[in-house]
Amino acid sequence: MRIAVVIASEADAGTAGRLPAGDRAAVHWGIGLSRDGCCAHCPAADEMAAAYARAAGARIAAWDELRTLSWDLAVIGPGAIDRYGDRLAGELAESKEAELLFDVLHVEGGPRSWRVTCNAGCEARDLVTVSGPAVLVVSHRAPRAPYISRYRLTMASVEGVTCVGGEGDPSPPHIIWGPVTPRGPRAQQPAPVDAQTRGARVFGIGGSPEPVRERAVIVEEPQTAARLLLRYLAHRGFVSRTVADAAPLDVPQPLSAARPEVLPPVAAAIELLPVTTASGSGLWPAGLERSPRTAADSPARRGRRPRPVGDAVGARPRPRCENSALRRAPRRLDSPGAPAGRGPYRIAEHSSRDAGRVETLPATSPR
Amino acid sequence: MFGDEAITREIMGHVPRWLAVAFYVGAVVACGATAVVVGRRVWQCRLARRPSEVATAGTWHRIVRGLRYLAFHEQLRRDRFAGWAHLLMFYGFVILFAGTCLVFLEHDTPLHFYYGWFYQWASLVIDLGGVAFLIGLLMFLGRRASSGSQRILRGWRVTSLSALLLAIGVSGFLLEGARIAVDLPPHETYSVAGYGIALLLRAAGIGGETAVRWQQWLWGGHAAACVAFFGLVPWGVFRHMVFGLASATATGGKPLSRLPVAPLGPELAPGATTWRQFSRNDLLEADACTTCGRCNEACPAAAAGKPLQPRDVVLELRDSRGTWSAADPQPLAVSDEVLWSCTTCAACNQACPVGIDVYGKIVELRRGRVERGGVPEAAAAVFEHVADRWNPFGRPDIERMAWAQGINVRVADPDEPIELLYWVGCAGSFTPEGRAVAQAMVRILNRLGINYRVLGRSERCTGDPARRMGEEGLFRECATHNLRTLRAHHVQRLITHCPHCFNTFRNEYPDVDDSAAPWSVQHHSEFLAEQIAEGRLCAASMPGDAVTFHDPCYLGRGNSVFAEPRSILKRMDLPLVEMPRYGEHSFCCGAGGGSMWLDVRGAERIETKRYDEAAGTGAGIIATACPFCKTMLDAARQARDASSTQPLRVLDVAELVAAAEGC
Repeated sequence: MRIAVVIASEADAGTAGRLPAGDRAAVHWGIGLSRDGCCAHCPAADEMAAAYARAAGARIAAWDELRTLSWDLAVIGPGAIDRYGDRLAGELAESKEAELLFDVLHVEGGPRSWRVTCNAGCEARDLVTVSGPAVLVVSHRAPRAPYISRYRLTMASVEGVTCVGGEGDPSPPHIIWGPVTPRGPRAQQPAPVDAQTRGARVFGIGGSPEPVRERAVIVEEPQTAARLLLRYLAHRGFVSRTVADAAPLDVPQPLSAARPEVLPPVAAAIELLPVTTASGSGLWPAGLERSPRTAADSPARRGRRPRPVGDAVGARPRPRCENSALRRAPRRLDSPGAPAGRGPYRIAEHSSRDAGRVETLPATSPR
Repeated sequence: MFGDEAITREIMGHVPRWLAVAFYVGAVVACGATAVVVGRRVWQCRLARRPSEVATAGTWHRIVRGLRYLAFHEQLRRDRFAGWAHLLMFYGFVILFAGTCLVFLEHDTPLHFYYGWFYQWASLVIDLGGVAFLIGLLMFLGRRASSGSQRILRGWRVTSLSALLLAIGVSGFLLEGARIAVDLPPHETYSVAGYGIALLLRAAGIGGETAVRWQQWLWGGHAAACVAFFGLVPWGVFRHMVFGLASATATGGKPLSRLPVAPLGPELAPGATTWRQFSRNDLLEADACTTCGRCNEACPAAAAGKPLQPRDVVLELRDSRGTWSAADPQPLAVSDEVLWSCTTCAACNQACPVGIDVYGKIVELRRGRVERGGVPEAAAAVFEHVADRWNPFGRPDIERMAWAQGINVRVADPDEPIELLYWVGCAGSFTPEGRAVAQAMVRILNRLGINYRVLGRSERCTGDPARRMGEEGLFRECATHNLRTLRAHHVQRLITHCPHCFNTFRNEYPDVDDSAAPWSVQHHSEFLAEQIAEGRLCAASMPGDAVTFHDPCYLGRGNSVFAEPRSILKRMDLPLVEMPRYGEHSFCCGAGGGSMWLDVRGAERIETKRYDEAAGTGAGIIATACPFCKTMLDAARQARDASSTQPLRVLDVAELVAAAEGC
């Protein structure tokens, strides 16, 4: 059984890089599952990932061989996914016509099949049995792998770990980052205002007594600006969401490299209706109407504020719930406290495209 | 030369020749066997893979220290009863041994000196030595029989060895009494104990030929016991007679909280799992163990009911090394719970009468576990936090200066020369208790008008938690980075309020790079005491509750800083009440050695035991000088005093000084 592990470290400012826990777990899963040894594929120049794999006991293979070598199981760490995107997993799965599973928390296997535990969200788990070629993308929440000491990492580096990169090394997605304006000192920042005023200022709407500063105005291509404006209007209930959603998502590339001129704000060009929770846009039932909180809201609504984040937020103990283990853990099949109508849960097997898939499904409550 | 030659005694008189020959043959065989076993153990020490730490003191200094150690038993007399008992036994044994050598020289060499006044005075001294030996032995046996202390090993081996010593002492006196009882020569009155026994024997009708037969039987029994003793020297508790002095002088002199250097290299991974991976000194020390159990008694983890018994770790190292076995060494049978219970407070090292570095061996075993990936998840998390976020708490580095909000702190510019660096440390930067101390220190420094700087976000963990938990490589990384930073700033003087950082800077960074410390390192209690003594801080009187001072292990026991924090408290006119265990006998708070993040469950919590001691003094304030101790004691206070109307306050000395200064 041949197992390929694909890992990559995430570069952090000021550090040499950091291998995510999921990538570490991927290496150890690969070593634990393979009998013929597993190959670790790392991007070129990612010496941290290569050193880790080598220190853990894996062989380092060239990145190109990921496509040429045959493997039965490919385990991809979240660091590699963060760097190259889901496309990497998809391409690998397509090239071998392999099963593709995301958010994998655990895998154990025999010689012919693997039993994979996937994160299904809300603390639920999918237990999937796969055989044949499969591509597993390790979850960020995978259990911690056995610790590899710095001495072993250093020795692995000293022994001449070099990442073999080739022409087929997939380059990361081409992202062009715009200029970043550093945040000014707090004293120079405007006094905090409510969300309604902030929104109005961004779009230059409303009778602001002070001149709207240029940097507060969205400067974008016409299509993008229009799309954002539509989203804002839909959010406030002035237009229906269907209209906003109809705006094209793919913004065409600018026709010219020159930045568009900053248009003067259209202050007070539109007469805005006062927004109240009672009378919404009429498109949605009153209970579903969403709008920013204002000072005029009811105390209950105003009370739903996020917790202030202060300097001592870490010192504040989180309230502990005695039943938190029950509530947050995966539901037990024989859980006596399961609410009526939602449980008890049972494991149901069903045939689907993924043969052998076992899912946790809510049983119909006996009445 | 020594007076009348008639004043002497016949050596081996009335002893059959065959018995004398048998004794000599037996003695030679027993001594030879002892030499072989001791030689084998010493040769095994040479197989130790790890080089021993270079002694901090010179050879002559160590010899003098060893002689002083033997002569005065200072280390032993910390337990007064046992110390005096051992002192009596030791001097009694030395005198008896010297007397035996005199007899041997007189009988088996051409030398002739054992007569006249020399004989009489020698007989007196040897008799008194024998009495001292027996009194000391009986003191030990009496305590062994009457004490219910868990630390005393009870078993047939220890009991039989004690019985053998008793047999040697008692048979020697009876033999002497029977010899004198034959004809009761008047010059033998100098043998006070023997003459008394002879009079008793005569009173019982034993004299003349009967006494001769008694003498022959007793001589045979005494000789057999002595031969057995010669042969048993390298076994059991007797072993410390050979290795104890060597252990006490080999590596002594280092600060108790300084961990031995772990040489790293391609062929030498840190840590140990078998005895061969320890150092020569480690093996020597294990052989020197007297099994007295003082380490168990002093250990806070053992006191709290955790599974650690430091003596068992040392004995496991000693016994895992079979004297004759040529098989590959097996890993030491020390469980994870035992290893991770240690708080590295060095109380065991402090208590050990033969200077065994017990917690150094525990850390060595931890290093072995780390190298094999067998560490608890919490420990792995700490290592990852130190490696990724440069602090063991796992807090984002951007929060490192959050403690400084609202106060005027002078943060160093890059590469700015620093005259006085205030090292805040991770506990000072991230824990609420530590932040309060850091704020108080900065206020005091501002009040003093000293040109100080803090490093701000350039600061990183010193690596102390990682090192104590066995991650030597990570410690080296942290040390290398911090040393580079300090050199870049040309730091002249460094103060810190964290005893762990203090110990690392003062005792351990020089091991990483011997040219590393052109700066002087001070703990903030030393700094504050110095400022108060020089009159720069007035430390006005603070009328208030009585205060008790908790000695942090790495400050007091580790670096012998006991007086300075107390001098601060006394200067503030705070009534100081000491806890039952203070100074070098202080009790750990339970945070050291990574126990801040790891928790092996015991019957009690260490910090709660310590807090109870503090509360028992009746003081209103627990003063300390360590943010970790403050955190732990404060947690114990919250647990204990949840319903109390007037709970104790836990404060750092810097906070008290800042309050007294009104800053």
